[in-house]
Amino acid sequence: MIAGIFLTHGMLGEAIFKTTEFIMGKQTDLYYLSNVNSTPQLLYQKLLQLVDQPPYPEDGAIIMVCLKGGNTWHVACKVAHERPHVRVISGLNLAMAFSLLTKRDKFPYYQLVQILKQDSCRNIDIFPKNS
Amino acid sequence: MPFVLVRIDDRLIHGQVIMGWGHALNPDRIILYNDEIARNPWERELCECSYTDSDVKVCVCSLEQFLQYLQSEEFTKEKIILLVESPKDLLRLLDCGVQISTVNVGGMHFREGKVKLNSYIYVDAEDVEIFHQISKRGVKIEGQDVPTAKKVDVISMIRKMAIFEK
Repeated sequence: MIAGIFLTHGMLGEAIFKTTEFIMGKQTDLYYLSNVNSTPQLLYQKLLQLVDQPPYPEDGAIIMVCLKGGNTWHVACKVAHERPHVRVISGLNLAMAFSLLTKRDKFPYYQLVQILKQDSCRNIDIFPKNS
Repeated sequence: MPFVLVRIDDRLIHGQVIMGWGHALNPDRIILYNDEIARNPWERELCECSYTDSDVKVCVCSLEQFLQYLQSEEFTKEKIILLVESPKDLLRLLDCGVQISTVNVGGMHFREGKVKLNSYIYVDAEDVEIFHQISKRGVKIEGQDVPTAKKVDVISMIRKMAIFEK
């Protein structure tokens, strides 16, 4: 199974993790990490430890961060730069999380990350349409 | 000098800088002075693509590139946030004649051997020594992680806590 990791500022990742489990039930291969009380070095080590666990070097891992340009983004990109089986996507929202959980058994990680981007953007909309 | 903020932050560019300071000060450009990142093409690109919600330019400079930029016409016209990783890097700029009146200390996080000044400033003997050198040159050293936080005088904190006194 592809690993999904919510890596966020504050408690956002934990909240999204708990909300997805509330809606979809208990999940495996799903993790959350926060930058609270952590340094970029510590986060980097925790991420490496996670993504290097079997079966992720083979199945792949996707790190979902909340904000492009934030320190979680920088740390995640560093890990992906060093691990070819890791992809990073920013703009974590619930739609992205649900897309991961419902599609990760259907696509390889490098395609799935593109689908997550499409699905999470598709969920952002405006009503009324012409406002 | 068009610096709207000169900041010491070991995370360099990140959420507090982009969303907090960036939106409060509305700079034209954010410069990261860091020789190591300037030499590393992928890390450089990563930092330079950090600002996503406006047209603020982000650039990583080596010392040489930064000094060159200070001589350019752009420098006189732009509002700049300058980020350095450590007090040592700031001292290096002062040694090269860069004029700075106030430095913001926004993030020097815990590492082995460092002592806590507050929740976002940890220092060792070398940091303290360099802060004193910077202060002696007339640079005001203020601790403030985000624009809405209260400013603290870093030298006063060091003296009050009698950290690494000789």
